Amino acid sequence: MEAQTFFRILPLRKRVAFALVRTKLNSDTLKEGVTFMLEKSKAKPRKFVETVELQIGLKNYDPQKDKRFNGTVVLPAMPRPKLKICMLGDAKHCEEAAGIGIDKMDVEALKKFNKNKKLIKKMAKKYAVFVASESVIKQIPRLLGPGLNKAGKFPTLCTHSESLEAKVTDIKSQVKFQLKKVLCLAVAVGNVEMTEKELFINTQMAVNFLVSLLKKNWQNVKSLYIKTTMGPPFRIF
Amino acid sequence: MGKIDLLELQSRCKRDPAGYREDFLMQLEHFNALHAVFSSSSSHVGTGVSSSKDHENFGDLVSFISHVHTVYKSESSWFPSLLLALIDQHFMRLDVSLRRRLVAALILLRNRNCVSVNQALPIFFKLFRCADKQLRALVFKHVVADVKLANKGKKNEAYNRVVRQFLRDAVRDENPVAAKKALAIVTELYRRNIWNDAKSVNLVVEACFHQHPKILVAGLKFFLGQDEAAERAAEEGGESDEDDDGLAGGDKDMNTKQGGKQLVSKDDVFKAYHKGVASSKRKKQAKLKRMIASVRKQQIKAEGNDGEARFAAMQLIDDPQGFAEMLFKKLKEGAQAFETKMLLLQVVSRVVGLHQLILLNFYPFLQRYIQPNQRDVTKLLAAAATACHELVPPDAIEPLLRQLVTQFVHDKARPEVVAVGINSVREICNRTPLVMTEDLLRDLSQYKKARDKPVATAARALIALFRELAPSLLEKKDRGKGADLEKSVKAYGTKVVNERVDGAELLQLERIKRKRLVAEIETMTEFEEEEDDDDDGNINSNSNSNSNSNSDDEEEDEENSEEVEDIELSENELEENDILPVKKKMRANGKLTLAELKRRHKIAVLKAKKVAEREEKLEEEEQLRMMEEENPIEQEKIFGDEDFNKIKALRMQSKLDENLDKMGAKKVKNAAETDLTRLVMRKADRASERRVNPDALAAIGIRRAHDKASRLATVLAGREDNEFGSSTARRLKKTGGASNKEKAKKKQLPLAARIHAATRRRNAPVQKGKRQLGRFRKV
Repeated sequence: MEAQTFFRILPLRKRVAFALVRTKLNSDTLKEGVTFMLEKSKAKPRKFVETVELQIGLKNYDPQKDKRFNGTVVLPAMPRPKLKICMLGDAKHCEEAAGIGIDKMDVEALKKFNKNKKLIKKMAKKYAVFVASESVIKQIPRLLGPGLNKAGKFPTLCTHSESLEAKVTDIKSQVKFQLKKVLCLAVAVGNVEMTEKELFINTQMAVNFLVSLLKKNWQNVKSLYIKTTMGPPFRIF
Repeated sequence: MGKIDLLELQSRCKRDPAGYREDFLMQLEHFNALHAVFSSSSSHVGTGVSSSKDHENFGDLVSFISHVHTVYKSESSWFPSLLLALIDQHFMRLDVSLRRRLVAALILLRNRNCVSVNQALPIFFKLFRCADKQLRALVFKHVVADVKLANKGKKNEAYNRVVRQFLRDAVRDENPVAAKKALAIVTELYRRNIWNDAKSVNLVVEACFHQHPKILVAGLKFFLGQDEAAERAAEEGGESDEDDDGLAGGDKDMNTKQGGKQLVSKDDVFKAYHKGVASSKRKKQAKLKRMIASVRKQQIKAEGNDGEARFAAMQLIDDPQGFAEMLFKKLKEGAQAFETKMLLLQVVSRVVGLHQLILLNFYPFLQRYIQPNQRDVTKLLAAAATACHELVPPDAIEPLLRQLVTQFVHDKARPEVVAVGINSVREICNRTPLVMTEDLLRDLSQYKKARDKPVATAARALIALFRELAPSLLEKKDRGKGADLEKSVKAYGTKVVNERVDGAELLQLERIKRKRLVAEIETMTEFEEEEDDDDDGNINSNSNSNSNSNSDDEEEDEENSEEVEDIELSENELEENDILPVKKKMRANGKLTLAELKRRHKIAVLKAKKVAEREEKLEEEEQLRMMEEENPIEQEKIFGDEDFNKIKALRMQSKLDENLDKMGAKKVKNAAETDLTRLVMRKADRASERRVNPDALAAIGIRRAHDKASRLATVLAGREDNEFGSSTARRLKKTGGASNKEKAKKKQLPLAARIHAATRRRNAPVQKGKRQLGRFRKV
């Protein structure tokens, strides 16, 4: 009873604030958000497959003083099936790449760049991820200089013992959380062609992973939004 | 009117503006007249003409008007612009003291906001070119204070933009003094946390492009100073942390909760203090304490509280690759003094390491300097190690490492040189483990038996590092207990990708364990309820059999027929495990011998232990199987803060458990969990973000040579309780002529004999233990 009277004395604004003291993301809100998002995207279909994005605002975090976190996680369902990948491989890997239909380049092609910064930059822009075979990856700094590094796209290693196809699917279902100079970041957690359940699980996994990276966990999270590429944002936290 | 009168008038004007208006106007006219004379004279012939008396009068008037300007704004509205024009036109030719007074007046007007920043700043920056140190200090102080005032409370971006623009022009100024002052303003503002954004850091970067070496040095020092300041702050912070929760204390302290997470369970503490053999108890306690300390240290590091993670300024550089390349180009041109070169080297290596840049020419360049007799060699080696990171291809660093080893680590080298060499190798391998080869590592690890302590310590540290990274590279005896041979350094270019949230499997396992426990308890209670009635009758017989089986140690000679049967039964079951040598089993009277009994007892104990182990293993496998069947927990629910705290505690627990296992208390566990936790810790502490502290490379444990003061102190202390006093004192006190020894010394010998004695003295061997001390020791 006492608590109730205390509650009634407070002005309305503060009452709302009290009611909204949240310690973590509520799964009901998340479900609601996913449904809302899918409804909106169905209401106005686009000519492409919209990506579902998780946008994160942080607080109590000073990117100049605190450690900038950085982590990659594999999501259960593949969020970006159309990710552009390029194989920088030896003969065997190039063949394999042609087999599964991803772009490829061999050492000769890399040598042709002749360390031309503009061309290398252009190539780095063209692809989202690079994969390289063991013999090639060691030469990359010498062949291409710092270009790929600058773009943050230093290739991932792929050995002959693992299948390239599996590697590619793996890469397509990875998302990377990296805090840069500002306190907000966004990652793709799915697309509108996925089911509600898949989206829900993916988002949950992404949120759990992100929060595990933060120093003070939920106390560092200011806001979480989900949205489709063209749709309105929905605040889930 | 004299100075005193003007001051008097000034205070009156402020108190009663209306009443003293006439007086003010009169002074204003006086000023106008003086100004006319002054400007005509100065524009024609220069300041030399007007006397110092005039200067003083003029200065007094200017300061008077600037003080009361706010009161009579309408009457003297033209005054600020006039003053600005005056300084602007004549600042180079003005009399020094008058110039200072004029500038002080301008500062006053600026503080009262009668002059805008746009108007005042260009003049202030011009003034930096004057050859007047005091004036420059005055202006410097004012600009810093002005920016601070403008940004008080909330950042004033519009204002900052204007000032920054001026500063940008100013640091490019050809006049080195002006440019340096401008740079000093930026760094001062950064230091005071007023301007701590990327823009001001990039201003410093621009300053580094300046032609003049002094500006370059100032810029470089800014970047290096950041590191040192952060480390110092961390040290202070770390110490206070220690005080806050003195975990190393008694058993009570071990249970203190730190930020809601429990470090060590009560159970562990109890085990350490109350279980096990008496002789090993103390050792165990000590080990546990040490372990807690090390785990805590790692935790602090992982959370980034160690300050080495604070690297603000360098992180904020816009184009680190360009910056590093520019500095390296300057370095290669090599026209600088050695100190500047050193600074350049340090900054380049730090930027390369922090941003993981690729600057492959840098390593061969460093290689030139890696020689034991190089000046400041520890700093150089630290820089070399700092510049290494995991994206550098190992073959780029390999020649550098080889040079380091051949130059520093060989049997002829002095121990401190060897220690420094091995320490540097360790730091390089910490960042790029792929450069290390098996042969080299085994060679280096042989130094662990070296006679000199610093060398042995360094080699052991290297071994410890590789025990964690890749035990298979080490020799078998160096690997330590429970080493995981499967583990090796990740191939070049592999990226760390998490399949799950860190530590979530621990949480899940915990949950499964609890579930099973609850289920077991439930079945047990059901069982007990059923059996309740029958129990009472059987108690006696039960306790009898128990006492029999427990007390077979004591009843060695009393051959109990039942017991013999028991043992024989167990032996049958254990046929394949029968490893103990078989001797004579029976005595003549057909009973078992003492030795045989002991043997059988041993087998029984072994068997029981094995069964327990097997059960435990089965249980674990069962749990793992259950975990695999379930969905990953992080996909089932959203973790709250309490879950994360639990994960942290569990992780700590598992680390500790694993260490306790290795200590020998229990069997060595399968190291699956351990790797994970270590991995977590290692990942959190990405080495390349830290710089290598040159002091850390120095040879540890070499006793420092006493300095003169301390030597003298020990001498004096020794004298105090010497009842006989020094020999000199004794000699001086002595009466009764010279001793035979003294006479022998004073005796005049022929020249040939004297020469012979002198040569013998000169060629006498140098006393042992007086080796060269030098740059390898920590000072």
